[in-house]
Amino acid sequence: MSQANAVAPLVEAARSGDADAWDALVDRYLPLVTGLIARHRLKGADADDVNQSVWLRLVEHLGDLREPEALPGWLATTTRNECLRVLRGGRRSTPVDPQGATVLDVAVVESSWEEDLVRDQRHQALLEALRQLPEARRELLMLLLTDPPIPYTEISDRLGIPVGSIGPTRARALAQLRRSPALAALADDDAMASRR
Amino acid sequence: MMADDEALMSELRQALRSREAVTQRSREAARAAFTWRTIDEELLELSHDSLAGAQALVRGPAEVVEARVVSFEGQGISVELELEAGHLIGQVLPGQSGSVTVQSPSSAQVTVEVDDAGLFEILELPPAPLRLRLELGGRVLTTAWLTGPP
Repeated sequence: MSQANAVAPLVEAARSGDADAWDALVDRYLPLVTGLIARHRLKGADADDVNQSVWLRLVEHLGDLREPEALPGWLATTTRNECLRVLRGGRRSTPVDPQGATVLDVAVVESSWEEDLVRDQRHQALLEALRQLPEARRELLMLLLTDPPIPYTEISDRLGIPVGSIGPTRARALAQLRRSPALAALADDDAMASRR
Repeated sequence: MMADDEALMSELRQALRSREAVTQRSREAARAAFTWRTIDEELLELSHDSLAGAQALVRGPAEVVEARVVSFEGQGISVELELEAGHLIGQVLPGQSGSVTVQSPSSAQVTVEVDDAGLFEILELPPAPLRLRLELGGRVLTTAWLTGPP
């Protein structure tokens, strides 16, 4: 997998003090970490604490990370542990319904980081594919993806296209998105993974 | 085909939402973590934490608030800490004098003396994550980052 291959040199460079390599690692894996934190329903100061702790730990352990390819898994495990520590710590002083809280924790613990990573990579590939679309098609999709939804008549006004062509243009944009190199690369990886 | 398109649109919506979750603040904190890189200091790893352990997950609300007990070990030295409401009592084992500095990305460093028995006390602990940097007879040791409530 091309992305994993590029991790090792970044880890190696960061180990020897290259701050740019560190920033590149952060850019690549920050969505994984913050996504996991959000899924543990941590927000605000708690979320900031966990995020900061995870990256401090990574700095501490850069030197003994034997397999740089294992970095995403290491980050996911560390993030989950830090989230649970915050959840436990908070529970000591905040009275909550113990049964409700336990059910929530179990549900969160059971979802595996591999699924998170796969979804995260898929999300990144989708965003990359979106970036690769021609401007007009990307603009239309972005308007259609707005939440709350924008009425077709308004989209038609903004883009200067007839209401009747929005649907067909959307279909063509999505078809082009599916064929984009970013998503194709991911599909190849999936095919390889399923053959293993 | 239409259903496939709807599924793809919904995935795109999720992707955009997860990107929004990455705030500038979290990116800055992650990048800044690199400035806490140590090079020649010896690392003391966390060997015990009363906050860890699965049983904590099912603690009831009636549980009394108690001190958190933490140990760090390595390089033939251990450090035992008792933390409660921002107050820390610690001991270096085997007992020896020196100094200990609390480091935290969110506040200024605090340094206190370690007495001959290895005891030290910090009255106002900065918020976690924090770590201790110990200077003991010419050796410099750093604990792993301590996270969670102090």
